[in-house]
Amino acid sequence: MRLNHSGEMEADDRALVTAFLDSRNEDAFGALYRRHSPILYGLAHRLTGAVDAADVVQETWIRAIGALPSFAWASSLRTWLCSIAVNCCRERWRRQGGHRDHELVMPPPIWPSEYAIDVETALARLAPGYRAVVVLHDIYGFTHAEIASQLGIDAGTSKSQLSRARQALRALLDPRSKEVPNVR
Amino acid sequence: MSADHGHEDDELLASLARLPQERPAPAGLEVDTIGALRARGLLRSREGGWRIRAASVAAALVIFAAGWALGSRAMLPAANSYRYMLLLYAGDANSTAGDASVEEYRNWARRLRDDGRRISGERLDEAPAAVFGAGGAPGPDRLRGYFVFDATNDRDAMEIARQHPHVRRGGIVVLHRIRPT
Repeated sequence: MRLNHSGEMEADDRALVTAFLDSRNEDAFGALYRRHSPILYGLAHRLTGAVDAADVVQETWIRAIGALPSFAWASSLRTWLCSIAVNCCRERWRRQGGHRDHELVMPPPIWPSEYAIDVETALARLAPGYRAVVVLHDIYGFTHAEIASQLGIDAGTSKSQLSRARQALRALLDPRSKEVPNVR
Repeated sequence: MSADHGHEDDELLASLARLPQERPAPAGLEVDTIGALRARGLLRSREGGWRIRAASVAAALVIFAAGWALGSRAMLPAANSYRYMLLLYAGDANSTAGDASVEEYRNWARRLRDDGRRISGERLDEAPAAVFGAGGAPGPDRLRGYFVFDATNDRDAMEIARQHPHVRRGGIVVLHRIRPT
């Protein structure tokens, strides 16, 4: 997994969590916040976009702090926080409606298709469910089992969605490609 | 994966792996989050709460010194409302709109927030990170910032946009209704 959660980092996290639960004060929370928020915001920004990312991060911390006393360290704190953030993103997609899993690629952007686009732009064009699998697997290094748990799908679906999403990314990144695959 | 896609996939995976995992959270989000945690009884203030109030004031200033990020956090969308985007452009090459008006813009945004509307915004770099396609008027090089807010309909949104201080300062304001996706 590419997420940085070395033994040293986990020891520091345990100390910070203990300090927070003992005091529940702002300083102790601030230390946790500043340590983990950049990755939570980066993840939320990729999954929901700039407009909603800050809301997702705040909601993640509210849920995490509420559940922290029962956190059993079955995973690293960072992995747990990311899972909460992904769940917040999924709820946001559902509330916003209109997201249909059978759509692999979002409607065309305003610029002509003959322009080459970078990988960030191509990622942004994937439908949320497919984008989430690529982001979680190929950027954040989660396993298919972890992704399946986070997205409420099975591991086989995660694998097949990753394959389709990568195929769509390749097509989007190739300015010669006239055909962007879709799923119906 | 088919064999002829192997090399392309290697390049794609390398490109994806190079993308940064982290991104700095907006200025002011920490204070907003502390406030939301305190409101839910999940956090104790340090000493009687005066420090957090002072921090809130300081952070509000930081928000608008660094940009115009105004948290919509902990607010729910109003029923039967739509989201709109307000794009703020410099009026001309010499326009100062937006340069020294953060307090005015903050007050405008606060009035909407106090009215129960979700609103967020950011100041943008003067130079666009990238430009695709044919540019309309005004050009993307004059884009200075944006706000996203709720309004009940186009007329409501236009009234809100019309009252933005950027207009009085000679700037150009472009309103878009956000299409749900």
